[in-house]
Amino acid sequence: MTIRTPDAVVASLTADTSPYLSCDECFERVDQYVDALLLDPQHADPAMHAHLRGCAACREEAEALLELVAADAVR
Amino acid sequence: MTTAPRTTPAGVVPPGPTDSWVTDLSVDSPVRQAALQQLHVLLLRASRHQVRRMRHLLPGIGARDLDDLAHQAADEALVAVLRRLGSFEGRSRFTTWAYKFAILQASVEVRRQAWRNREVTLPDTVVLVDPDASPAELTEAAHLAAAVQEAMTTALTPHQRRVALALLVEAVPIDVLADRLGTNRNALYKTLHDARSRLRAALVASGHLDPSEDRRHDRSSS
Repeated sequence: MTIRTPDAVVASLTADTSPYLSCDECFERVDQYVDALLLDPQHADPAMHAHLRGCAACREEAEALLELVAADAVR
Repeated sequence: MTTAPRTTPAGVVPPGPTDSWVTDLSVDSPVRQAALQQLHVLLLRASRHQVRRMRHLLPGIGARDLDDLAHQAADEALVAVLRRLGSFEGRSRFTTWAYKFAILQASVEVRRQAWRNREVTLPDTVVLVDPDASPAELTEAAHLAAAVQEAMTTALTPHQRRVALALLVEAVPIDVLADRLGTNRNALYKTLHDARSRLRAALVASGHLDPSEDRRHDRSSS
């Protein structure tokens, strides 16, 4: 189990997650986002960045996809 | 197949932009069965990858059960991919697009299993600062924490407060919480987003948060 410090909880509660993007919209875009990031690590998508900063589940899934596709690229 | 073989001798599907998955998977394709098998290999690779990443959440589950879980996720992902095949617009590689369904299914299933026998509590309050500390003893961070604690009770609705605390303090996964509350991930994330916006506005109003921080955030994200 993850133990969260008060500072971490405060940071998480006050995270700026604008511009708003829903989890469904994140799922719709995450494949395109990951492919773009692998081509250009500086790829900018403020709404995706904000959503992934604020949603632990979508962040885990995006990181997993990025890792998997990156592993394919070096095969 | 209508295209060059996609599988390596080891049976692993390599990525590539030059595929014709959509054509090969269409119902009238003469190679549909082979394409379905290849797609399942690809989805199983993704679901196993995700189960491996999250296996620490299921410490009591053996390797065989974990692999069963990956297979179940791949099977469900195959159905989802076929159902959504018409929406694939080629904006990403097909493999990346398909992987995301298996990763989602595996993630949801692992979280569900991990929380299957756990009670989900919905606390209404949070203690972020030592209640016995005097104002002089509080650090800058503690002052902010105290302001957040106050804003939680004054700026949020009871529902926003409980959702935010369950997700961010109790660390209940959002899809597990959605299941227990009979709602969905989108609705809970919107509640959380609105709660954060209200908290930030309250902290700006009380002088604990610099209003320009929002703009700095936006610039750093872009």
